[in-house]
Amino acid sequence: MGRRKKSYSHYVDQDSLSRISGEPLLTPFSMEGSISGHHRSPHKGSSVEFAEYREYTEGEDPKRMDWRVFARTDRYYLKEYEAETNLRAHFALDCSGSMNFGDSISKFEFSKKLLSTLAYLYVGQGDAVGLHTIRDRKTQVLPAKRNPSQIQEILEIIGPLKPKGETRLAASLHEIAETVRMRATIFVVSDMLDEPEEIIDAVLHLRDRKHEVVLFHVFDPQELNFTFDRPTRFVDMEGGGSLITEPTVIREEYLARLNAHVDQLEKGCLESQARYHQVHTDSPMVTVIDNFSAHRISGKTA
Amino acid sequence: MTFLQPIALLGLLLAFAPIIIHLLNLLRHRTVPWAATRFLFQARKSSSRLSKLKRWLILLVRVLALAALAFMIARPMTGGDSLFSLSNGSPEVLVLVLDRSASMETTTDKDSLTKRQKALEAFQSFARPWTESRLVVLDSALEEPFFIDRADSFKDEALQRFFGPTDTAADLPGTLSKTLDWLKESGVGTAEILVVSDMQSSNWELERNADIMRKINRTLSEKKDFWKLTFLNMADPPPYNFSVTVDQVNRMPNKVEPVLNLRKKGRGKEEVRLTTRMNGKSDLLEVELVSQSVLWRPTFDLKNEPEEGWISILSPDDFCQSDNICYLTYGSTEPPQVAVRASNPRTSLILRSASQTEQGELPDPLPLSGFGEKDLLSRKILIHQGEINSKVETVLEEFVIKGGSLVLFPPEVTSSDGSKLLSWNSLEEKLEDEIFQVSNWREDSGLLTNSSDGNRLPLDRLAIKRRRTPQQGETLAYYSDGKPFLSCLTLGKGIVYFFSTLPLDSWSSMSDGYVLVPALQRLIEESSSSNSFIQSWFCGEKESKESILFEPIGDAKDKVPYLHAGIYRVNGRLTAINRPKSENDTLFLTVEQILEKLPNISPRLLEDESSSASNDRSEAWSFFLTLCLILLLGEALLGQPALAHENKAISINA
Repeated sequence: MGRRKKSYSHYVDQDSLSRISGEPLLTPFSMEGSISGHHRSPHKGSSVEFAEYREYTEGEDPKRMDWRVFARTDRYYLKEYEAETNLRAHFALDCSGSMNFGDSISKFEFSKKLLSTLAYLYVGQGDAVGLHTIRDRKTQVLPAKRNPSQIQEILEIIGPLKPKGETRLAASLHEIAETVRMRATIFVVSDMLDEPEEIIDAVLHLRDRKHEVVLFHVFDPQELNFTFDRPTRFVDMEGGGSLITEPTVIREEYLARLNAHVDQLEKGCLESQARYHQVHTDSPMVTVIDNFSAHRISGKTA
Repeated sequence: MTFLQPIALLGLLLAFAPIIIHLLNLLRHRTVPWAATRFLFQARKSSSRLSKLKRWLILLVRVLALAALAFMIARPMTGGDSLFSLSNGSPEVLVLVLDRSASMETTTDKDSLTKRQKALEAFQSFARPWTESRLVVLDSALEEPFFIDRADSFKDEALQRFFGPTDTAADLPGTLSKTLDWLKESGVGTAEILVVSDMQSSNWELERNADIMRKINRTLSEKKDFWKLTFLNMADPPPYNFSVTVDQVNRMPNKVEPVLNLRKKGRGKEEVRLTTRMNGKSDLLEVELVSQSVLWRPTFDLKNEPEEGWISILSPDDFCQSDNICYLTYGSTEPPQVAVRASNPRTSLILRSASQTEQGELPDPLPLSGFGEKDLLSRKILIHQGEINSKVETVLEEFVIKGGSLVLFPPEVTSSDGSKLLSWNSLEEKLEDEIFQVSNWREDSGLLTNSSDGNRLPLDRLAIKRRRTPQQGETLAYYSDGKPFLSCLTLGKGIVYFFSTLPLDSWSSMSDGYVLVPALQRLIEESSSSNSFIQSWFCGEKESKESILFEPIGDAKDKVPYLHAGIYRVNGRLTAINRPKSENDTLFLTVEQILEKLPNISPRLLEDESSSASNDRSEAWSFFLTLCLILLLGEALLGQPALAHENKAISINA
């Protein structure tokens, strides 16, 4: 009797699907898809969306000539329409040890749910979805595909994944920027515990490659509140040593440092037209997805 | 700084409790895996100096607060010039060691207050800064601690027995020693002891009391910072003083002839009118003083007076009233029963002749053999010469202990069965043209005292060729080489006199009678007085203190024999009580002489009666209590978390 395959479908948040499935997740940037889709293309095509009038030149197909304009002006003009194509969404999941932090749910588990739900939604609207698991030694890559089975592939990869090792987020993002050739939306799901300047550098690199970049900065509420009241030994989850301290003494300074880190990332994203989303592991997934979706509809970049 | 409860200083270990708790907390920390340690490292690295300082300050404040608490419980004492002299703590007890001797009744020409009254005033000033202390007076007369509610209680008439004038002498080292013993027994922690005295030498007798002074020095140095000694010297001599004392009372048939010692301050002739009272009847006597000290022998006729009575002699008022009066009593005359026992017949004859009564009766000779107690029944004086074997010695000792007077002359030869107690050294002889010479002797009292007209007995003219010096007793007369000519030994109620030579021509020229007759007659006179039903004591003496059944006579109303001179009937016997002769001592010590005997301590000296010691040592516990409270308040303020920090969390943009 064969071993029963473990199902990871629970990572896909059903509440979020129920709420979002009717509305496509759009991108404000033009995408270069291979097939027709919901997203704006840089090319003119045959959609119903009018784009512009252009003077006819010899050799072009006379079918696209606007005869009404010819009747009025006695000139030959072509009427062009927007092309609509599909999108490639690449999910970069930070698998470093620090992502294992969390009380009721770890940041990593929360990230898996976020990633799975978004991937499901994108595949559902005909977009291609790929996966990059960022680890300290080797980044595992699943190329973007729009097959419905891609969801299963992704779940199969991230389901058994355990976070460990040091963070090398910035370097991995540079690698993604080099390897993903076609325009795509790069979703980075991480606690961003790397040097903010280096992360922003990597984001700029991705933006140079015409990719849309969306950063999901995952927090556990403890990290934000830091409500310890007795001497505590903090052990670095990425093997960076430990420190015994009186939390009440350093709380103020800790929060200041954390705020500065977040501010720097937010500012960098704003300048590079990347999107920055701060998500907390105690927030319902539907709220997180809803917020993300709302921002995209409004076309904000940050 | 010193502490009343030094054991409580162990509580200082408690001050380390915050540090230990802090370290224990660090040891008892919980371990938390943490993701964002980079911020923690940064935060700790650049954790604001103020936070660190605040944290250490809180720890320091806690430690200091507990230390201050421990110090407070240990009851620290500070000096007046100390940093901690903020406290107004009082010593537990203020003790006045009061010289209440007769000489303290001297006044000066500046005011009418006696030294004793000034001493009490001084104690009032001394106690003024310490309102919470208990006040105790130990005076030289009663030598018992007496508690008073207020420093001015001595003005209360009802307490005059405890603070009023006395005719006693004082033993101030003894009184001070008793004071320290009492403080020790009572477990008194802190005490201020004020010693007020006129520093009369006889009241201190530093040489005789050397052991007591050493004990005082040792005790006070052990309690150096807790029991503090202060001296107030009141040694102002009176500008003018006249004193009268009774040296001797000679009872004759139908008359009394006391020997009075009259002393005055100042030179030159002076006529003094003395008021006498004999059995309540007053009379006046005039005497001319030609020198500072005069022995005067007035005669009081007893023709119309009772057989037993009293006489007081009062001199005019001066700056010291207490020595202006003396008292004497006289009783019926009854010649004592004198007996002579001598081994040498010639010696026996001479001794019997020298000791015959005024009526010419010769004393009884006692047999040499078969001598026993029966021979001494009803005898008061025994003059003995010759060997004393152990049996005879026992009989003689019994005789003396019961109150007899024994005059011993050395045996001519030494017996192998010699006495141990009543013994002489070996015979010493001079060559024909050499003699042993008596160089000095007690001229003021005893057998060899000067005659009533002031003439000395011719002891220095005695030609002594042979001698056997006695081995015991206090020397009354010395040879020029320091050996005793005459010594005396008190045994029980009686006395033994030892002569060192015999009234034989081969021994000395004593047989001429110039020395021997007065000496023996004086002994008979003294015994005659004591034979009657009267007695004479000095005020404050043991006998006067033990007198329970007494009745003041004459002007001695409301007086008690152990405090006041006067005439009393004590246990039925007419008793004259006079101020001790030592109170006439005109030698005064300086405080420095007393301090030399107290080398380990440094007593304070009050400048005058109105000085106080307010700026001196005091307890500083209130300072430490205040400090502790301030520190605890500081700890509460420092430990208060900043409100802004409480709700400060990172903003959420999700």
